[in-house]
Order: sequence, then structure tokens, then C-alpha cells
Amino acid sequence: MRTARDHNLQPWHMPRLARCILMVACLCASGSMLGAATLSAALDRDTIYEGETAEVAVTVQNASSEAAPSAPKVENLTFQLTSDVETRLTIVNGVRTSSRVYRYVVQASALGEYDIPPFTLELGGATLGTRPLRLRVLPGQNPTIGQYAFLQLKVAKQRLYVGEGVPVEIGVAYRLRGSQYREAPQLQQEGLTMGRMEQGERRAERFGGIEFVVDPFRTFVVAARPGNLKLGPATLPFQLPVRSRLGLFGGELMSVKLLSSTIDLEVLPLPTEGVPAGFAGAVGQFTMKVEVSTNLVTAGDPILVTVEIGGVGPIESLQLDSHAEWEGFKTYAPETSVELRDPLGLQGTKRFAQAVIPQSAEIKALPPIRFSYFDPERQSFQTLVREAIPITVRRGTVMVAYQGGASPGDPEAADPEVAREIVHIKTRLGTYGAIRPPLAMRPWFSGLYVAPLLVWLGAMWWRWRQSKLASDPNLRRRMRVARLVREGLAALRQAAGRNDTETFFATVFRLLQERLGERTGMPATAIDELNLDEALRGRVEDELLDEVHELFRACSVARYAPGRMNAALAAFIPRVEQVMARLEEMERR
Amino acid sequence: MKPGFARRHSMRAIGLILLGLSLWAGIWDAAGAGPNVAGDEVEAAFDEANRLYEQGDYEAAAAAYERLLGAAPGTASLHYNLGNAWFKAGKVGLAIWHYRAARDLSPRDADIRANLQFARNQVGASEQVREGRLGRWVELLTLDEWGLVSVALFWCGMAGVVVAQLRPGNRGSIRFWARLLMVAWLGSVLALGWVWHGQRGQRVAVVVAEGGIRYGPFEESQIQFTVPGGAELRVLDTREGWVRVEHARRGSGWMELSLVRIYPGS
Repeated sequence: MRTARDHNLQPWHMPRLARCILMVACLCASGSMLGAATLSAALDRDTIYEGETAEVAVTVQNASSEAAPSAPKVENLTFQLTSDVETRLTIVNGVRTSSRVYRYVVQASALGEYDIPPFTLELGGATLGTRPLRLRVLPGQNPTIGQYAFLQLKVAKQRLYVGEGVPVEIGVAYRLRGSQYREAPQLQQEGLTMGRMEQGERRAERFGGIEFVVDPFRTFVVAARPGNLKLGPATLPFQLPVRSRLGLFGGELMSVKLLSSTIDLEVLPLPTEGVPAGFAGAVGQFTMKVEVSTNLVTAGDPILVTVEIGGVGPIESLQLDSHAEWEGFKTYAPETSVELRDPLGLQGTKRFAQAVIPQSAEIKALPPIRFSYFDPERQSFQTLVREAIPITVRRGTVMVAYQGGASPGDPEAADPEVAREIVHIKTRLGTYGAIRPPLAMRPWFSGLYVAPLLVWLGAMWWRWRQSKLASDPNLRRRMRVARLVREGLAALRQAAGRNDTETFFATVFRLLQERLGERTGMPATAIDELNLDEALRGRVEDELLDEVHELFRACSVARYAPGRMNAALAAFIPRVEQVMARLEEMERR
Repeated sequence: MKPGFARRHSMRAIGLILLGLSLWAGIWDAAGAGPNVAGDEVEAAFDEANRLYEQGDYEAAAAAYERLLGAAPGTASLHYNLGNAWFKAGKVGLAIWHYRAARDLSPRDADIRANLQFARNQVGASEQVREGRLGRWVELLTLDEWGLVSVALFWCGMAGVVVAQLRPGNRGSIRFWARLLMVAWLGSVLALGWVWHGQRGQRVAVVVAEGGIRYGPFEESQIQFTVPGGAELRVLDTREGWVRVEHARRGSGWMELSLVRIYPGS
């Protein structure tokens, strides 16, 4: 039996309830001794070179949430969360620590120094944050990388002419197994035109006593302008295997950018003197061969002229001389084909096949064919010439069919056996217009028939009038006198305007004579004031007769005593007009 | 007034009227005229079609020429080249159709007439629509040319008549020439009518594919005789899908419309 002495206050002798309470308290304390959740971040390196990437490891400790921290937003920086999440649980001195490590790949699109704000994590209503980080992005290639991989730029010659093609090689050299690249190198070539790029055979080469694998990429450049130009640098995105945490080069790859050196080129201009006419810019060494399909042809049939230009230079850009003399020929644009002897396109043959059609039988030869180029080796222009090729042009088949006196518009008279083939096609389209109805169907065509008829009718009427006048002297006299009166009255106005009394009254006298003579059937010259009464008494009113007397008297005064005539001439004109009109109404005798 | 003034004045007035009418007619006609010179695009397409012909691709050349017919209508060269392409492609009927069109546009072109005759010779003389010797000479001028000739002769004849009215003293000799010209005018009008009938009034069916001439316009009708591709038959009547034609020697009958191409147009 346990006594009171046995119930000393030794810890291990606590009552059961107390032990339970203590245990619970320890457990709680141990839970709280996991510590508060923390967030931290670290860069694997704070300096990278252009094209490289860095890695940010963000550690979340003692957090119950498995959410990944949020990356900050920084201009020209991108953060890519990898799938590599590391989970750890450590117990040190009874203290448990759980942590999760998230890795972010950082890539910069521009050089410079970057302050990376904290990574953040929302946890239980609170926001955890890391400390800021700093990253530097430097230009060029990481010098350390060059121990493992580099680009080598080589050119055949550094002194060249405008338009001359020069071979270029870019060697991708590397020594680590597992190195990768996915595209051909890019070459900066300001002022230069680059040809196609071909990858050559891989080779082994020693640099500084160390063996590298070299993948050559070959191309050529053509200078577009004279002067000092820079070729390069060549660049290539490359992936290098990196050392693992165990210190071995393993499956992880690091993205880098390889850069080559630049090469200075001296580009000389082509000479400006002695440039051949028709020179189209070819530079190199070339030969020319010309072939024709036939020397005997009928006018209008084609001849195929094939020109082959072969040699060394930018073959695909070759053009024939523009100074062709195809007068008398119908020509079509040539069809071209290229056969290269090297993958770069600097050696080969370009073929021009052109159909030319002599237009007449007078043509005796194809014109000379020329090709001019500049030879950089000889530093002078050269012209290859194929002299005129004699040809025989026969006349068209139809001429043969018309022999033997047949008329040109009677083809049935032609001997069909002489024509063995149809005449060739026509090379000119000629003129054309909108479809219109024939001339005979157009509205105005009828007018062309009506107009002469109208003229004829007018001539007939005129003829009838002439006949009538010829058969009626009284009518003729009446018409003549009427015209005389019209012209005389106009003359009176002019004379009155000039105040020409003599002319005025002479005209009045004449008009009276003509009108009275025509009305009375007497000769005009027989009419005067003395025989007026005899001619007019009883035929006209006395008033009119008196007026006529007055006019005659005035004419006499004006003739014989002009000094006494002081009346206004214009005042006589209405009187004369009235007398003429009234006498005209008088019945003719 | 000077003697003869009235006569000279009248004749001068008549001359001015005729000159004015001529200018008016010319201006009116020119105002309605279409493009006078082939455009660059049409020329380039024509050259491309010629290139196909030169390369021996006659079917393609014919298709290219056909496409140009809409852009360059009424061009003898185009119909001529199209006829050549069809001939080379073995389609004599289509070739003859286009040679006829080219001949009507340019009746004095020796190449067109030669090729038309050459194509007809391939078919055979018995398969052609007969043209008389007089007709061949009359057709040396186009419809428009005969129209102009008839107008010119009429004007000259009427001028003689008018002068005879105005100068009765020389009426005898003038009347003779005036009558002669009017007779020539009548002849030109007849020629105009002849050409009109030949080109527009009378239709000819050119057989494009060998086929039979049947008694009736039915597929069940018995075939009287067969005509080769390129044969030219007078068109007497048409019904839906059928055409009644007359052969120069063998009589008339019905033929499927799909086997012929009617000239100058259906």
C-alpha cells in the first residue's frame, strides 16, 4: 500500500490528470515549435550575360498551403515556374521544419540591372514576402562559356569588289557532350547580301590543345556598296549542359547565346570607265555558249535561242545584256534555269531560252549576243560576244499556194497540195473596239442618203424658180425693183448720216423712177415730174400724187439749187418709204 | 449683181452643207467608238496565249484565246489564232468556225483565207457550203466597207444630178455620168445585201464533232447520213436542242445542237 511518503512531489510522480495535461501542452508546444511560416528567395547567380538565364529558388517553410508563391512583375524580365518542386522535412533538436522549394527561371530581354521585388504568398489572411533581389544582365558572351562552346567566323578574302560573291564559313565549336542548338547561326551583314546557308560535314578540330567538335555553316556574301563594311558578328542560341549538384555535367541545360567576332571588309567600287554597254552587274569569271534550234525557218515561225552563262560568281542573279538588238523579230521574255555546281550558288550555269520570231524574209541573221561582266582577278570588264548567226527565212506558205497566176482573192484556185501546213499564227492583236452594229444599221446612216436628196430637191426648186423668172419679165422687173428699193432706202440712210444732199436726192429720184416705171409699165428713165399726172391721174389718190410731186420737186431743187435745200435729210426718209409702199400697192398696168 | 453669182453662191452653199453633214456624221460615229488600240493587259494575255501555242500546248492556247474573246471582241487576229489552235488540237470544226469569223472581219487577209481553205480541204469539198465565184469577189469587202461604198456612190450620183439641175447647158454629159454612178450605187446596194445575207441573214452550222443527220428532232429518229467534223451546213430551223440543217448534196435533216456551232451565232 502506497503511503503519503510515497506521494512526494517528484515529477514522475505527478497525478495522471496532470501528466495528460502536460503531454498535451508539450504537443502543442512542439507544434508551435515548427515555427511561423516563412518565405525566402535566392538567385543562383546575380550576373548573367546576354541570352543566358538565371534561377530563383523560393523557399516556403512551415506553411500549410501548397500554393506557389507569386512572382513579381518586372519590365523586360520573365519568370517561368518550373515543375521542379522540392519538399523537405527536417527535425533538429526535436524541432520539425517542413519546407517547399519552388524554382523560377528568369530570362531578360534587355541588358541592364534589375531590382526584383519580393515574391509573395497569401497565407491565412497574411501576406508573406521575400527580400528584394538584384540581377545584372551584361552584353556579350560569358567568357566562361567560351571554354566549352564558341562561334568561329571566317571569310575567303577581306578585300572585294561591289557585286563580288565571297564565301563565308561560320563554325559552331563545342566540346561538351549533350550540347544542343536548334537553328543555324544568324550573321549580321550590313551593306551585304547573303546567299543561302548550307551546313557542311562535322569535323574535329583542336583549339588551344583541346579537341572541339565543329559544325561548319557555309554561305556567301555580296557587297552591295563600296566602303569599309563589317561582317558579323554571328550569333547562335545554344544550350550547354550544366554541372549537377553532385558536380557532374548531367541532364540540365543552360541557355546561352554564342557570339563570334566581327571581320572588317574593304569593298572596292567597280571602275566607272570602260563600262560595256548593256553591262548588267555580273562580277566573277564566266564563259558563254549560244545555241539555236534551227537556221532555216519560215517567216512567223520561232527560233529558240539558248544562251548558257557558266562560271564562278553569283550565278542565280545573272542577267543577259540589256542592249539586245532584236529589230525585225518578235521576242518573248526568256525562260531561265540554273544548274549549280556548289551548294552555295557561287559556281554553276544559268541558261536563258528565248523564242524569237523573224517577221520577214528579209532578215538574214540573228543579231550578235553579248554578255559583259567584271573580272575581279583581272580587275577589268570583259565582254563575251557570239557574233551574228546567219539564218534563212522563207516566206509564208500562202505565197507558195498563190503561184501559177491564181488571183489573190480566189483561194479555191490555189493548189491545195502545195500548202502542206497552215500559215502560222499572227503575233499582233491589232485594233479592236466594242461590238457595234454595222454602219448600215446605225441611225445616222439613213441621214447620209437623205442629205443628197434634200440637196437635189433644193436644186430642183431653184431650177424651177429660175425658169419662172426667165418666162415672166414683169416678175423679174418687180423683183429687181423691190431689191433696188431696199438697197436704195439703206443708201438714203447712209447719205443722210453723211449729210450728202446730192447723193441723197439722186437716190430718191432714181427710186421714184424705178418704182413708177415698174408700176406704169414705162421705162424708168421716161419718168419725171412732167408726166406724172398722165401716168398716175385716176390711179392713185390725189394726196399720194401730190406727195410724189413734192418729192420730185425736192429732187429738182437739190439738183439745180442746192443752196436752197436746207431741210433735214432724215425727215425725207419716212416720206420716201411711205410713197414706195403705197405705190407698190398700186395696181399695175 | 455679177453674172453667175447666184449659181456660184448656190453651189458654194450646197458644198458647205455636204461638208457639214460629213463632219457631223464622222463626229457622231467617233463619239460612239470604243477603244481603238489593244490595252497592255490584253496584249500581254495575247502574247501569253501565243507562247502556249509556240510550246505546242494547243488546247491551253485555245482556252487562253477564248478567254480573250470577251476583252478584245471583233479582232480578226484573235479569231485567226484561235482557229489555228483548234486546228492543231484536231478540232477542225471549231477551227473553221473561227476562220469564218476572222474572214468576215478581214476578208482580204490572204492568211485567213488560205487557212480556211486548208481546213476545208481536210474535211472535203463536198462538206462545204458552196459559195459562187461572184460571191467570193463580193465578200472581199466587209459589210461596213460596202456600206461606205454605197453611200459614196450615191453621193457622187446625186452630185451629178444636182449639177445637171444647176448647169442645164452641160446636162447631157453630166446626166450620163450621173446615171452611171446611180447604176453603180444600185450594184453596191445589192452587194451590201448579199454580204449581209451571207454574214447575218444566212446561218451556217459548222459541225464540231462527227454526228448523224436524223429524219426528225428525236434521238429515236433514224440517222440518214453522217457528217464529219468541220462540215458546213445551212441552218433551216432550230428547236430546243436540235437544229434542222441542209447538206449541199445529201439533203436536209435534224442534228443535235451540241454537235454544231452556228455561225454567226445561235
